Amino acid sequence: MNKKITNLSPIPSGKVGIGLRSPHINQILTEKPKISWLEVHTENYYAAGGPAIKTLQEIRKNYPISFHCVGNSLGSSQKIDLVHLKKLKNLIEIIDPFLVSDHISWGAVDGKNFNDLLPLPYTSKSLKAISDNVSVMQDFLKREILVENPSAYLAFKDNEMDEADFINQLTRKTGCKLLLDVNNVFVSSQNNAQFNPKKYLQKIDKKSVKEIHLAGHSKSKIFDGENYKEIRIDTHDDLVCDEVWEIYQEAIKKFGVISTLIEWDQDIPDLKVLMSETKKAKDIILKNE
Amino acid sequence: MSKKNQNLLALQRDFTSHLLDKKDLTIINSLPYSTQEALARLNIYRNNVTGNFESVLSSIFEVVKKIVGEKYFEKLVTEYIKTYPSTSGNLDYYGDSFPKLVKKKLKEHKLLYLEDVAKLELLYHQSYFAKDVKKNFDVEKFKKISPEKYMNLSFEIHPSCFLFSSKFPVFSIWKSNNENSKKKIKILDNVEYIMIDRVYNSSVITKLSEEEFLFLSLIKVKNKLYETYQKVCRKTKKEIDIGSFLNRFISNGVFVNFKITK
Repeated sequence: MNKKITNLSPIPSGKVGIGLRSPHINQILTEKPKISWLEVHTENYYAAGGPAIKTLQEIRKNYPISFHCVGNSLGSSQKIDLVHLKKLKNLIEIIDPFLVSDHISWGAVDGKNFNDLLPLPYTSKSLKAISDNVSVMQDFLKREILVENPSAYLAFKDNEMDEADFINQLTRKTGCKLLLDVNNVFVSSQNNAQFNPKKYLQKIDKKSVKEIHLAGHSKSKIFDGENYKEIRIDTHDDLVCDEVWEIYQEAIKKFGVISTLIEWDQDIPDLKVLMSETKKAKDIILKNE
Repeated sequence: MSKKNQNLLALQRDFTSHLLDKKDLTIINSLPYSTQEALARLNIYRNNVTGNFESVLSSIFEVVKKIVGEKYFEKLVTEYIKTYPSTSGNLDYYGDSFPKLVKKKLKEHKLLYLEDVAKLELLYHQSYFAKDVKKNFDVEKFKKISPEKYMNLSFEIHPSCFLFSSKFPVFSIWKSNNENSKKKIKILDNVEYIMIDRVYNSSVITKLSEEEFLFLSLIKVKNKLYETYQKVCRKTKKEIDIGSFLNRFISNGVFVNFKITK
């Protein structure tokens, strides 16, 4: 019933895209604005039927699409859910995305799914669990996947390595690539005071980065028993902040021209606001080309 | 007690136990913070998880939420998250057991009709995501079928078409809440028959007559046209206008195909 689309738009290399969100769908369908590529959350398209997948097929005729999964729970101690993965495989066959990614996190245990991106301790045991699941996913899909570094609000006592080491070992072990979320690097560095974002970038394997995410975040406060501490929350509800633009420049300098995405998931503004964020990213790419 | 090198499964169980019950503090032993700070940091994850589930349930059960109010709905959501965990990485079917919880809580909310309102909203949601089928109904071919073949004529109904009846006027309750109407609805002795289906890109709820409801219910379970006609007339003690029924359900896309069996 859902046939694979032909005459696809070419794969964008080093272009800046935006996350496809429902308030912009009609405008994208009717006005076909000049956007290099779009990224979708795959779990929004796993239903048996209905209008969502047809709309995505229509959009795919004019735009390259990348897939960003949120529900494979790659860091779970349990094995990856093949029923869920089969839905992804079906969607890949229909839409033919140029990239497929998920997260360095977990969301399910004992068959219960929390549908969130929960933090992993950076230990050899976690590394084995996530590597096994990434390998199963890549073998099942018969393609390379990307994994995104998380936004962390806490760290674990048992951490045996830092996040950059964990990521390097994961990408080397499985052949997967990194979706470098620059906002997450900044948020985690502020929340855990464990690393310097620039040193983090220096540590990451140069050839592992294949996509970059940029987004806004919000600030909140937590009480530690004596004082209030600032904490950054990865809300994707604002413009990219200056510090993140600065880290992005560093990232482009080190990793070269990488496809970049502007994400915005809450309080979604007019498309023109997102387009103006893509312009800022393009300018940085141009300076470094 | 530090849990140095505890296995990942144990840590993930401790973490999720705390998400479900903040009094379960085992996970704090794995975190390098004071208890207060650890709780505050964990709270960010719990808020994300519960906020996400609540937003899914709020979008499906809008009218239930409106009827019981935000505070009580939040209480229902909290209990639902603990009692009916999500079992999939996507949330299309997450609310499937919510009407059961609404029923279980009858003594608390005392709204006899609320379970049926929840069931109706769930069907509305399921209809939107139901499987697509190609409409193969060849009207010209159908018109040429001779009446003696009606005995063996059956129909395929679109997968997005659901039928629901309630001894309470749930359609009127649903409609009135959607329209913010202040019209009073007589709750008792007011049976309603309802069809939910997907028209173009939206789910639609339509009130049916008892005869239409019986007719579609029998056709849906593969009764043939003639026996359906007989059963509906017998049950309702009314002569039904089968031509107008067929006209309606063929033209609105509820019937997607027909078959004559020998």
